[in-house]
Amino acid sequence: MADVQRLTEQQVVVLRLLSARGMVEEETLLELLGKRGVFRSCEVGSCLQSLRAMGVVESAIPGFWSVAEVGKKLLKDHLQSRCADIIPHLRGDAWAAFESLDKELKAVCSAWQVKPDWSANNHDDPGYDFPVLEKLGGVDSKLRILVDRVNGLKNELRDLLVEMEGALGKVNEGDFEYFTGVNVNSYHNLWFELHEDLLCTLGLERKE
Amino acid sequence: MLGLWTVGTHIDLVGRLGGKGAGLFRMRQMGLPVPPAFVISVHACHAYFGRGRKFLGEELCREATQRISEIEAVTGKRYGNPNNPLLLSVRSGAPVSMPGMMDTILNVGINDSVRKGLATATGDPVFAADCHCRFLEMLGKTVFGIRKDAFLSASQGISRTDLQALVGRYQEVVAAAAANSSYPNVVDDVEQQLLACIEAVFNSWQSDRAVRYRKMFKISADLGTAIVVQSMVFGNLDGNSGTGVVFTRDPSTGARELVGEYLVGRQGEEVVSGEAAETSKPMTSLNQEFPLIHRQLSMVCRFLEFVARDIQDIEFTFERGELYILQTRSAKRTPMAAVRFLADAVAEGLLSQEDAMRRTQSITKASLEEFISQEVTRRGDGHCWIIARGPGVTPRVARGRVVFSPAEAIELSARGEPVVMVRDVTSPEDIGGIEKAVGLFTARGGPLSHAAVVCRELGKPCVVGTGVRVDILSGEVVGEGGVIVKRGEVVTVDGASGLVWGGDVAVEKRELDLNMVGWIQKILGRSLC
Repeated sequence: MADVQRLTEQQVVVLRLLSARGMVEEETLLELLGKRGVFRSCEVGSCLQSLRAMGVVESAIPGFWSVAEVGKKLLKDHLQSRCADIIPHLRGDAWAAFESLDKELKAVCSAWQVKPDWSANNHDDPGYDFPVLEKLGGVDSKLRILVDRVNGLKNELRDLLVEMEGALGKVNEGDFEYFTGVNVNSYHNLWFELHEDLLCTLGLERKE
Repeated sequence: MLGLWTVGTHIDLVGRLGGKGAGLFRMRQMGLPVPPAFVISVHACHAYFGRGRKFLGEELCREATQRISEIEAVTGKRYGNPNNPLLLSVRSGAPVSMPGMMDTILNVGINDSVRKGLATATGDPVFAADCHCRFLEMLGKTVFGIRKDAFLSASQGISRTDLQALVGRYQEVVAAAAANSSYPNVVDDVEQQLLACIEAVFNSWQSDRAVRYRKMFKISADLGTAIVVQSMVFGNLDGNSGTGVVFTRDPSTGARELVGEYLVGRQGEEVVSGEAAETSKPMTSLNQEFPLIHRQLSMVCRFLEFVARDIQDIEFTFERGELYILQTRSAKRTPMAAVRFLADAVAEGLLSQEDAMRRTQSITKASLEEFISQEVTRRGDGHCWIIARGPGVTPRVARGRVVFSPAEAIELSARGEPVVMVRDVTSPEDIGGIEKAVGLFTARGGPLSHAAVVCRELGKPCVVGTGVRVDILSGEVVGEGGVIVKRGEVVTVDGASGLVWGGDVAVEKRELDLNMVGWIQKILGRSLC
């Protein structure tokens, strides 16, 4: 029975990503997971198969993977029991602070894509781009301060935070796809996952 | 160091003098009205860091003094002298643009006695005090890292008419910061002022921000920065003075007309930094208010564009009705303006066909593609109606069948049908669906939502926060005026106008000038049909 089995760290990573991204094309999934620290690329396939055997993930449309209803519940229970001690500290002020930071991050991503007059940013003006990139760094610093303030949260989000550090590092070296890129483990994608994770843990619905 | 009033030698101008310095040198050679200046070359920057930043060399100090004498000879003003005082601007100028570096300090060479002399010379003590305060703020910030609030709090409780007291307070702030530095008398000593500014510019080359910037944009740390030291001209002197920037052609369309703005009675930084945007006026006003200046400026523009063979972005100041050109550089422009300019330049004989083709390398294909693929919807002959409206994302139009979930989007699109996904609010789990859909609209969310970020990244037209009611179970969307759209019906999403249409709406592609089409096809390497 799926709900009495315990999930490995790798399985949790797969479930979290799938849960965050919904229906993902297999190629994209292998690409994204293969680059995550917790996997060697050859291990992703077998992890997916193990989760499928448990009935936790499914491939309802050929070539696409998603979390099954059973899997959604399993992940939620898993996260909520794992984070039982953290949840009370996460509610209230800490959550409000995160939501406010989420707004900031979305604004920075948008500023990277479009200029204040809503025209597309061609990235031909370092004078415009550089301050936006600095703001991204600022948001990341604030996130880490926030996470530090909630006991146990840093440990819980360890994997994601490491990935985000990596993405930010790449951006700071000029690899800007890792800012808002859709099919890489970009900072924006990882943030999205982090947010989804916290929502799931707290049992909240996303407001947009 | 290169005095611009002495004979120059053949050198790699930009590499040695920086962009600003090279531009000034060239303008001076052409006989344009440039305020006298000298440029400290990047070699001095290298030498400074080579010495471990300990001090500015004696040779540099000696040469600077000599160059200032040259400027004094040309202007008839004297540095540090209250009788007809010479004030200087100190500006950084690397061979490539470097945001994150210190830029400018104005009115260098002012102290109490010079200020009084300036007040007498101009007949305007308010102006002189303003210059003095501005200098102290800029010096404080760039040399000593003093923040604006320190000056603001120092000026608390002082009436705005008591300028002497205000200057005094500002001086105290700077003196306190300078006390333990290598320039302890910088408030009164004009020699120390100049050297402190020069050293600050060199230091800013290695500021944390500059280092981070170079790493990100892969710029060599070896370039170093040059420094332009120039005689001040006062755009804020009176109602017959002003400052502005002008483009020799419209930087967004490439049209052959001067585009720019100016302020009367302000110093350069404000127009460039955009601080005083509300009161700045367009070129057409300059023509009415100061027709002579406008005429001279137009001639300068034509001339500079001709010599540079490129659209120019020019900074200018006029003082008591006398025009000065401060800076010129190649203008940033949209891809469309770039194409238009090349086409026009060849037609005008400014560029040869071959030169123009070579220049097309610098036009990013992606942004040009984006520009020409822009579409809008409008009511045409067919029967159509608006289903929803809201902020639009990505200026394109897409038409497809309405689906309510990523799974539906993936399934239907796999059968070759274009789909438009509608969601109450987007969450990351919609990414898979957004990728397969041709467009999206949402009930909730704004142009800064995650959905918008993803749609922009993928180039999908999207209308967010429309307020429609989405019922996945019954497969219905209730839109504007109660109109109902069912699963599978065809809608058109216009990301430019922020509209979702039902029925048969006309789609207008961007109209391209026939002259442009040929050029665009050459640049993109494909035909436009």
